[in-house]
Amino acid sequence: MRTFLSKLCALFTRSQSSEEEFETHLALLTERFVAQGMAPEEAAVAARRQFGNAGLHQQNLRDQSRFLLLSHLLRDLRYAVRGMLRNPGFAVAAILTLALGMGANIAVFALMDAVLLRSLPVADPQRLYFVDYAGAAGLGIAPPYPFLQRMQSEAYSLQSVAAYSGQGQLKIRPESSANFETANGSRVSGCYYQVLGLRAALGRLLTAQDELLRPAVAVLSYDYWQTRYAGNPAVLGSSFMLDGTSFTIVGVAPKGYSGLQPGHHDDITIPITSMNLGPHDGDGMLVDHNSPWFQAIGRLASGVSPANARAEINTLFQSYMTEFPVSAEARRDQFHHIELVSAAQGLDNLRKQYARPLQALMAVVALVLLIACANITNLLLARATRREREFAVRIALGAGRRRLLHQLLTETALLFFIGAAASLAVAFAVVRLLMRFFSTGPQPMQLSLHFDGPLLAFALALPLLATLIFGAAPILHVLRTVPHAAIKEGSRMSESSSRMGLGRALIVLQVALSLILLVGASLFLKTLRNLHSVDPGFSPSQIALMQIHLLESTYPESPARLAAWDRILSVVRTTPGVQSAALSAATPFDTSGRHAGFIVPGYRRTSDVDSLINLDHVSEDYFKTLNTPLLRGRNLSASDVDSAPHVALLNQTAARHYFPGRDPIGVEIHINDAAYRIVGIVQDIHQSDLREPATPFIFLPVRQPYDRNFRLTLLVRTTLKPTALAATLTRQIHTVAPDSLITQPITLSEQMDESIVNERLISTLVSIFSVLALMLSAIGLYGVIAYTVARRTPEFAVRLAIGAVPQQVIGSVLMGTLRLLALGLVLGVPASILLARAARSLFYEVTPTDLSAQLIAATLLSAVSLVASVLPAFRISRIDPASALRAE
Amino acid sequence: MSADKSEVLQGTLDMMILKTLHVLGPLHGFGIARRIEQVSEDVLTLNEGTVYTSLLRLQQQGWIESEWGTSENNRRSRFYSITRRGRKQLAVEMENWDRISGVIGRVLALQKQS
Repeated sequence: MRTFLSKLCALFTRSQSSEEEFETHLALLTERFVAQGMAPEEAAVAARRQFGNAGLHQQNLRDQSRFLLLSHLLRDLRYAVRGMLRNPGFAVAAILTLALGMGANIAVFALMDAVLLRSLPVADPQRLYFVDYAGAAGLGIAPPYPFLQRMQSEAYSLQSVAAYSGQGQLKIRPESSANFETANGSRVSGCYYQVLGLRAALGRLLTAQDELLRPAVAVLSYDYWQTRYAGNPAVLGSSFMLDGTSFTIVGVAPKGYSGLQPGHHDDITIPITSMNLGPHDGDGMLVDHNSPWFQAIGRLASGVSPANARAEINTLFQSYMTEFPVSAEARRDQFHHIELVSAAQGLDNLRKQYARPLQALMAVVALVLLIACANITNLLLARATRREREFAVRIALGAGRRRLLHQLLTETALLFFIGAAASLAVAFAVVRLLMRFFSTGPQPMQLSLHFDGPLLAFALALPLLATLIFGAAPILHVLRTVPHAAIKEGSRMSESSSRMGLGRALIVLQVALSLILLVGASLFLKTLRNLHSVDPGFSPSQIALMQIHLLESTYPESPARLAAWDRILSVVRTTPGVQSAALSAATPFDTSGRHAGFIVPGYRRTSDVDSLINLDHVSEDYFKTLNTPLLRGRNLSASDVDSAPHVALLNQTAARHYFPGRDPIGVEIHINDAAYRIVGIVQDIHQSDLREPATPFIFLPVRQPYDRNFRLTLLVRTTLKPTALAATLTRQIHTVAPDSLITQPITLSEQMDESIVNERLISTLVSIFSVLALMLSAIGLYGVIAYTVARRTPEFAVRLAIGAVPQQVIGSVLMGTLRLLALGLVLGVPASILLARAARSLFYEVTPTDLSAQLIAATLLSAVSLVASVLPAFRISRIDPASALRAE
Repeated sequence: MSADKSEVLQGTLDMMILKTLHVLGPLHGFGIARRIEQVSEDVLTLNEGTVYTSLLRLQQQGWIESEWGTSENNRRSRFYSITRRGRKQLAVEMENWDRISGVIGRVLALQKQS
């Protein structure tokens, strides 16, 4: 050992000592020349000449060393590759295990990065904050617009502050096109881009001047410019019509910035004062003192701390609230004070929605990775032990241990890096799968996943770490090998029992982890099944939906619009294949929500919230199309027009809540100032969440509108395939109502599925991963049993020779397997119960202590394990005792 | 042509060093150079330092090993000695050489006869 270490040290100090050697050599040469009669200086020169260029010799020595290292590396690599080709089963198993385990991790990490971790691509995002009102009920959005204006002029702690109202669907007609189309739009203050600190990629960005809308201008996002305008710079100066006004495109935002909400892209950004244009629901919002409807984002002035800024803005807010008071309840619950929320990562809707599922996912893939690593370790251990004799012989023949160490390290590293490369491919595939999941539906999430620096570093760090940790065990063992003992035939290592112990422990761990995953999968699948079997209050199948927008400029007056809706309904109803059709402002699970103030005579409000009710405008046949029964009174009909008495329907929950013990039929209620008489009660419909009970709802006739009705959704119950019908209907509708825009054709079932996308995602992934874990455990178990049988063949041969029946020997091996299995189950069951409890918010109507899932999982695991053990155990019966013993 | 020459020389030099150490016992670089100078006459009159590259190569192959010691002028230097593997290698090489030179000799003898 000492010589080994000294040689190791010698390698590093070689260049220094060569200098000394050279000097001695030169001195001896000089002496020789002096002895031959030369003068000392001459001798020195002659010596140098004879020796040659010392620096060059040094360099050659260095090159020689490096050359050796390189040639050894190449040789080790060749040897490693040959070894893999000789044992393709092992190599394939190992690489597959690594690829799947690490690939899944990388994919989920990329997703987590895009959703949870990434900062906005703006200047100094740490200085950006959202200004939100807050109270006992929690955090809200920005205070009303007049307050923003006050902040812009009086808040010195903010360098600038801008309003942001995003994710609107703008109906625009580009000048080059005859048709209207939709684009995602956001309306912002003029100083928006200044707050963010962005520079235009083309042209210019918005300024405060643009709020005057003289002229009206717009800025495109980089991606929208590329896809819609093909990246043509001539887009500058072109225009589009919106709300009856012509907007000129003056610039393109920088690449990589797509708005304040991760997952959504703002294609077009226009000044917030555009709310004042056109006869639509927006005008008046800018001067409304009490309605919050946008986000305010501000940049701290230099040198100001967030705490100071908050204090200053809060002071302004308190005086504003004194000027424009609200109810005491609202003041306490909502408009109590101001909070500054970090805007470095944009709005957090996406994060809030997906944080828990993503964390659960990360836990799942971490488990799978653990299983994969345990498997690899077992495979490597088994393989190292098989090669013990080979190593012992080589050491005895004089191979340096250092060289062997190098070689083993190279082999293991090669394995892991091939696995890592394969895992990147797996990660790509998994990410594509995940993105497909997210990008369906009316509001597709557009995530940009970058496979960039930090991610690749993570991807490379994993195999490196794995090589060191899991490759080290076998290598270290080999180095402790005592050559003589190993070469002697039929020897058994005394350490073998401890190594067997490690292998067994790993199997137990794998069984436990696989059980957890299988239990998780079955619980999630159960959740999904429970959700699907919730009665939503209607029949979702065979219903096609389409959004129809009537253009404000063509139908500015309500009578014209109502006439258009009538024409649309009649033409749709006469289309072949249509069983029934209706119009509605909102449809179940469309993620919209409309409230209005609800005043019921004789009912005492218990809170502010209690005075609001969910509102929907529906046409006749709405409930018929949905197959929702009418419980009492009468349904709405085509004769409920504006000139007729104003009527309304309530759902069951509303009736019970607002009219306990009373009959609502015939009662006149008020929606803010408008009066309606209740004429019927319908069954509850789940409007937004399968898990939550239905909320109180009032349905007004679409012909007696409370709101402006430029946009309604068409519901059609049909026997045909909904996609085929959509094209026909679009054509028909355009013939009776030109200048209408039809968007987002979807079926009601798909829309419902959207609302449980989380649950669907998680159950799919957990199911896939648990099957993966099962396969990995089976491979691991097979490997360990095969190795055990191979090593104990001599022992078995002896037992067979002295008269044991093969079945007995096989039985003892299988008993060993069963013991491992039992241990794993004992560990896994309580762990799975604990985890199920921790994750209970993700489940639906599933009890964590329900053992049926555990039972199914345990049975599955046992079956797979036994199958995996049968093949190697079967080999025992093929042992020929005589020849096995002869080999001793 | 000169490239071939230096390769042959490399191999020849390695063998000469091995033989030298085998016959004369442990030597330092200077001593090896002197012996080779005697034996090969004009092969290494200049660039004597190249012997150290050969020595490193031979060490890396495991055919010689080195130890620090004091030279005749009381300076520190490394002393090289042949190893058991080196002796084996030398024997193999000499056998090869004998066989090749025998064949060549027979071929040349053939030509002379006809």
